[in-house]
Amino acid sequence: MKYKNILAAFLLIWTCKSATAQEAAVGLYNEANQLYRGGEFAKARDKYLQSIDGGLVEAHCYYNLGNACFKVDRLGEAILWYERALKLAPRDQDVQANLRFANAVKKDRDPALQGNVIWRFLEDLYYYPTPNELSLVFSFLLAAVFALATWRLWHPTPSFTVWLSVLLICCAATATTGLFLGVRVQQLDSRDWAIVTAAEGTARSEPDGDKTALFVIHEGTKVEIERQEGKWFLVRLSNGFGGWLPRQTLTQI
Amino acid sequence: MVSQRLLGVVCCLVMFGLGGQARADITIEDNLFLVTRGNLERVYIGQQLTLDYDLFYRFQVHNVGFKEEPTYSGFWVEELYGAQRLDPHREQVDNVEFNVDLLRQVALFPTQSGTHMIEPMSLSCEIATGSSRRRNFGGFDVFMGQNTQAVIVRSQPLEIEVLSLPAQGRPKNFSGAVGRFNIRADVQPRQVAVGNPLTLKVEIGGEGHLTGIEAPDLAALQGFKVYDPKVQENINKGRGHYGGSRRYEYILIPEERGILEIPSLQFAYFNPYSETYEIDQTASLRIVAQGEMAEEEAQTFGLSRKDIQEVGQDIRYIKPDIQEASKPLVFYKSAAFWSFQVLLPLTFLALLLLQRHQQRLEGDVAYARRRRAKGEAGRRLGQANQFLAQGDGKEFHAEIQRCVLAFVADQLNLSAAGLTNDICTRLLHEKGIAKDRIDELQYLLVECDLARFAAVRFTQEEMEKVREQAEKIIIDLERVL
Repeated sequence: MKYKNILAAFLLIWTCKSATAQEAAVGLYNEANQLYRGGEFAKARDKYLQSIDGGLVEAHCYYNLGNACFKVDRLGEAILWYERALKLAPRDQDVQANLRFANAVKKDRDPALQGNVIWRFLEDLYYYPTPNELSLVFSFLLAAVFALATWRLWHPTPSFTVWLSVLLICCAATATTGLFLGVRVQQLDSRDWAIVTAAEGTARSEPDGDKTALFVIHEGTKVEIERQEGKWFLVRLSNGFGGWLPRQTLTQI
Repeated sequence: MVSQRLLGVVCCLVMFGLGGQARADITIEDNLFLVTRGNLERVYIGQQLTLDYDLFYRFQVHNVGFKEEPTYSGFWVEELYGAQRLDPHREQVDNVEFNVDLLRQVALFPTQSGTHMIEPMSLSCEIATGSSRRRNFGGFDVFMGQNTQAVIVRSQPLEIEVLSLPAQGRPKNFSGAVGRFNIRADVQPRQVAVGNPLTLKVEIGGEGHLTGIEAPDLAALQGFKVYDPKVQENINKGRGHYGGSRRYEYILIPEERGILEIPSLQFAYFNPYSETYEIDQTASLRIVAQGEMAEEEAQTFGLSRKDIQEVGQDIRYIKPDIQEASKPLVFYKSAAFWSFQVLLPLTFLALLLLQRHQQRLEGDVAYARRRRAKGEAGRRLGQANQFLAQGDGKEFHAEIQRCVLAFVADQLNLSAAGLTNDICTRLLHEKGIAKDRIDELQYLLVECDLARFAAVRFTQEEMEKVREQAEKIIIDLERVL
């Protein structure tokens, strides 16, 4: 009984402390908004960062921080925070629009944007459903599979072919959705993507500053991280270019 | 009245020796000239003046093309006709027959009063020059040779007098239209709900330049909200005439219920033929507006008549303040999601077992009886309890006996009717039941027989013992059978 009381008290203190921290983070966010409205973008950026450090995980906050970074000419950071906001709110029109705009003004043209229309349409389609929606659909489809199987137990007479066809379709849809969900979740949880937040970075053939320079990459470009070695990242661009970049050049999304 | 006349005959020739000099006995200027013919010599501002450029010739001419064109300053110019190829008709000038081709026809609309000079038009062409094979066919000289000569033909300048429009009798709503016009109007639908749009189409058309036509003023229209019109212009031109129409399409929103009237619309113009101002007007139109004004509908109804142009780009504005941090639900990581995934197959498994059980109950009588035996025994024991409570010893023992025998019959899938105490004990013996249990059962059954058929009275405690004994036997037998 004594131990239970101690545990309850500990949980209560921990919950209260956590709630207070959240409130403080929200307060910082709102202060940052005020600063932004007053045109003090650099101060607003600092406040947004403080609110995020305080534990605020909000697409709104990431988006506003992206805006503040954009206003103080930190394009790479702006794109980074828009990308992070997009992870939390993949269909937010404002986030999409600002990310598009920021990408349009960065120095390096995004090779991915040069893809054909069909590919871009498929890509948009791929990213359209959120993992939450996918998991709901998956659950529904799985329930449908089991419901169909159960129904057959008590209704063996109707056409077996029709029943089996529907069941197979549901199974296929469930498997596809499950696979889709898995890939999306894996992508979302991975930190394999990064944004160049330094003004410029030179990719080299080996993780060494004296090795051959392969290409120069500029602030705001999105790269895929293949592996890490010491203070170097092996990155790959969407056009296939690959090279080693110093760690301080990039920030993982 | 301004009369039609032949304005001038001009010959101004410059010759270039391409295939040799023109023959001395041929006077080119008498046989090739460009004539500007206007239908009027005095016109009002805005009135149509039609100019024809006719080429008169008695040679074979080729490669005719305009070289210098007048600037027509002080006029709106609309081309009515431009010849693509020579298609002559014949005319006589001083008893000499000429081929005549209308090369160009333009409609001029004066914009300023006063005397205006129209500069000469010049054109270049090639004529066939002399050869020994010159022939005369029907009064026309025809050169059969291959030599040609380039010639430039120029018309004479033309003077036009432009009159101001009379100030007398000028209507207030006159907007500068000169010609002959009419106005028509129609509204659809005639019956509409208040707040819903209707379309008023006003068409002004006729002969004359359309620049003087202005949209009818509907600002004073009562009971309607009026939006800027969409304008569509239709030009109709052909040889000698120029005209067309302008159609104004208004969106009107009735703001009151009842019968609303769109009053007669007027259009004033100057008719240069009658030299007076005239007014054409439409009949008034009535529509029936029903229901009440839907405020939101009226406010949000999209009535943009032009595509919106983007004039600049910037990032979108920040998101608003928040009151509290949201707790983002990651469904695929939640316990509910995974519990559901686990529960689904487990539920299916349970239902499958249930279905199998039901199937067995339906198809296997022995199994069904065995499954029901305990329940049935419980029911009978309950009945016996009631007899016990009533102090009815005979019925109590009879019920206990029936209960035990029925239980054994159900367990062994036998008919309870033919199951006597002896048969029961024998069967249990055959099933390998322990002797002490069989004895216990036999004792109970004998005790019940005694109570039913002998004049033995049992106390309440004894009967309760019997019931407990029966319960124990049933539980024991269920375990071993």
